[in-house]
Amino acid sequence: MFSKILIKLVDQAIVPTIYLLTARVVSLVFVIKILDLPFKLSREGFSFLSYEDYLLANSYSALFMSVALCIGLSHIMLKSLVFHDTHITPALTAKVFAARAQYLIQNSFNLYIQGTVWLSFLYLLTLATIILTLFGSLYLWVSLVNLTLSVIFTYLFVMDIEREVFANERKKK
Amino acid sequence: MNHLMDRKYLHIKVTSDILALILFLGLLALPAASLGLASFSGTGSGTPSVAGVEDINENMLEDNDVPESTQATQSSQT
Repeated sequence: MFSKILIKLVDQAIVPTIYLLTARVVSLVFVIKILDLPFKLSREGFSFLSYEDYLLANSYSALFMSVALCIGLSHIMLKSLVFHDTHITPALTAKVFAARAQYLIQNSFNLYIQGTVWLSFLYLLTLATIILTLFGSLYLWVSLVNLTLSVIFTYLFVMDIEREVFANERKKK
Repeated sequence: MNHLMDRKYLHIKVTSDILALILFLGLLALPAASLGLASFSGTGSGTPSVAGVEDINENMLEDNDVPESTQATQSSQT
């Protein structure tokens, strides 16, 4: 009944959402504990008494979230660029099978769905950090870091798509 | 009859796809929305360094200053 792509997108988005939300809460608690910042828990979440404390905790927590996102995205990019079934080398295939890590080799459909989901998270996070920076709730460098990461990972993803297209063209010839 | 069944099936399929899309977009937006988990209440002893607040305070102080000429007239009347 449901579209196959939509179901796959929803399926692939659940784990990263939980992972990123956990990263956000854990990093916020971690920063508060490490820097010993005064705060109170309310319906709105963590409420800081001083503006400087709020800026500090919010910025470092957002940065931690970006790092967590980068770890997940790097895993997807590694699978796309090195272990993609359309352009993996025969020698590496033999090594992967010898190590019994054949789950690393995936087809284009799975990899592109995962890449799209994780990149969407990165774009939305970048957009949210830029908006929060404009409202003075985050340091500027957090937005710049996110923007740089978005450019780098987009470039890597496009590079993989290019390799896929060229591989398909070679097969046709 | 077949035509009606097809239309019904299509209607259900489109509705379910829209619901799945909304669910997917909701999942995507959750981590970005969690950036609003922290907030600034401003009720503490720390002085907020939001641009403009200090200027407003200074302006209020200036307004409360009574000019010397007014003070002189007030003292002469008493």
